[in-house]
Amino acid sequence: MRGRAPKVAVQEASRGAAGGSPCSTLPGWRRWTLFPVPAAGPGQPEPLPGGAELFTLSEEALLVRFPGGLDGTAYTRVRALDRRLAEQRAEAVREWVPAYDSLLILHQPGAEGREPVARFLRQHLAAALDAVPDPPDPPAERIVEVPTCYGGEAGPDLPAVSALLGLSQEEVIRLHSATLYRCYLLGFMPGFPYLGPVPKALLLPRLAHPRGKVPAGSVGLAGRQTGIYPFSSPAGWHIIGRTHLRLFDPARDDPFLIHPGDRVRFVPVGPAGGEATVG
Amino acid sequence: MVRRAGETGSPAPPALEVLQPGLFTTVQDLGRPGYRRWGLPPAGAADRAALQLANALVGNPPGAAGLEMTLQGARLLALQDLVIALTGAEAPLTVNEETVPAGESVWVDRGSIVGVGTARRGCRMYLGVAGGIAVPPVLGSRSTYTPAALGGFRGRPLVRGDRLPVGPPAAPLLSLAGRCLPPELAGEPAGPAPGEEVELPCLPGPGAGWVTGASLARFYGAAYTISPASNRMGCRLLGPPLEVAEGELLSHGLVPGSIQAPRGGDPILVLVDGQTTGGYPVVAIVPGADLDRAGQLPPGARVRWRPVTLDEAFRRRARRDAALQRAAVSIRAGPRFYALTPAGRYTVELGQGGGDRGERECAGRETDHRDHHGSPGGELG
Repeated sequence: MRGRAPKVAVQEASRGAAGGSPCSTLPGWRRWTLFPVPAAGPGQPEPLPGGAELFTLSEEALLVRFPGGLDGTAYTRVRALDRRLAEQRAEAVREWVPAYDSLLILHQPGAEGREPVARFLRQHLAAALDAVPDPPDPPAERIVEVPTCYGGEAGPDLPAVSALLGLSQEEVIRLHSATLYRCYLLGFMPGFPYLGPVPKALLLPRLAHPRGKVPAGSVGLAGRQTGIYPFSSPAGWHIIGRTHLRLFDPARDDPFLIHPGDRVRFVPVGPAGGEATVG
Repeated sequence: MVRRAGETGSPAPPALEVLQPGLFTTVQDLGRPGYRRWGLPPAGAADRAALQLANALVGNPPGAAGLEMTLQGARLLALQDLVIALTGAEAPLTVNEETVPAGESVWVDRGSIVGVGTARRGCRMYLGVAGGIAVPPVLGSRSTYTPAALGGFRGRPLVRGDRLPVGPPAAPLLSLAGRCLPPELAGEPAGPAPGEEVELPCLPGPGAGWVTGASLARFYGAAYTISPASNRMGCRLLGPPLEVAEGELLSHGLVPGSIQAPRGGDPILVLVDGQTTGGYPVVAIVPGADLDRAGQLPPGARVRWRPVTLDEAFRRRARRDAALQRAAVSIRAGPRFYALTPAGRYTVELGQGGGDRGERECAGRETDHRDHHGSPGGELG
């Protein structure tokens, strides 16, 4: 797994570490959360309203990054910009990828593609930033319930997880399934949802040694994220259960069970399974 | 499951049978745009320009599907008359064991055996077939994305015995043979040979501040060797390590061309099948204009990184796109039919085509067998 735990434990370099910060002189994301942003220059981000930053990745890609990290309002703003892009689809915009605190935008290549998008961001970001922090869920927000068989063969790591956390298996299941998660992004493989935040009582480092293959539908836990493997795959997360639902099926009208921004709840079931409800 | 997606019956009859699949041969087109937010990378040809040229040679639209062969080509049996063209990495092309020039469209009689050999330079060969490989599109593309067993031919690399459907050609087959690349493109090297060194332009990445200045300086000063543990998801780069700061970065959208620095691991140059999001710091990015060249790096080749400005990336992209456009236009002008069949080689002047096409010249390859008709396109001028 290349996904990282959703904590913004960004190493501070220049402030407390005058004697040997590894990266105190370079532009980079480290500044995103902790430092004032210097004027835009080669390889450096352009400041946007509200402390957001615009990174130029290439002649056809931009990355908008919001301040505040996972615990702040960054994701609310990512969502707002995501919706704004969908509504007012700028012609030069080809596609975009929302993530925890950033949004990747692919545009028509060249300056003529970049400029309208950059202009759009300068104009509309303010509105996105004005979105009420942590608003009550809009009525249109979808909730996906994922019937999950915990433990046993479906969740081989449940005993170890329970031992590591000092909780009973029942308590782990209760905590994991009682939370209404947010799908921050899909990545790693088609339809793989990064869900969080996981209750602090379930906080675990990922596996020291990723295991071989886990079956499709395996429910994993690592750091403050939980996720579901759409395909049989090597896994670096603790596997605590499995769902029979297919997260990705290109033959379905909607190939993706869970969308970025959805709310997701795990529903404990017996090995026989159960149906998903999307509401 | 997902594997069924590529198996649904196709109306096109099989036209190519795989005798030997080569090292890693997949059906690819120009990719599957629009699904990155769902975790699907663009996939498609790792060298898109090469596929587009192969398509232009055989009269296909730029986005038709062809075969991408990695390092070691395939042997294929033509189950019907075909017109094919080989582009991309430099590799021998044979029809019925007779050598045929790459970069030209070639008539292939039904029953002939098409062989693509081992890459001498570059990494990936593209075989265009008039009509395109007609596997059913999945989510708008015929490209194969093997990590999810999606698209292409049953979502997987080809194996012996696979029979591939080919669509209807854009024009009568006879009119599509004998076309060749314009000289300025035909002369261009396909990529480095193992052991050779090339330079790739790159832009500063948003995660450059996550690695030490000293290791970043070493990164730009050194040549990195492409590891054999490379594939369409990415090239593993062997060379001076990048020292990454402690702490975890929130995963964010990734574009192909990104050079990631995993802590304590080899840097990775992300290619077309690479993950759509990632949490490793991105220290530099090869612009889209040069991604095709990144797709032609064979294991053992060495790369140096040349920092460029955004303006230069814009210019490079405009040049690349314009050259492709020009090539497609000048290829279309081919006035002669050039065929290689079990009965031998022959050339027929078709005399169709515009008067402005007389200037066209075939690239500097051995053309004895057809020069008895005078200079190419001479009677058109």
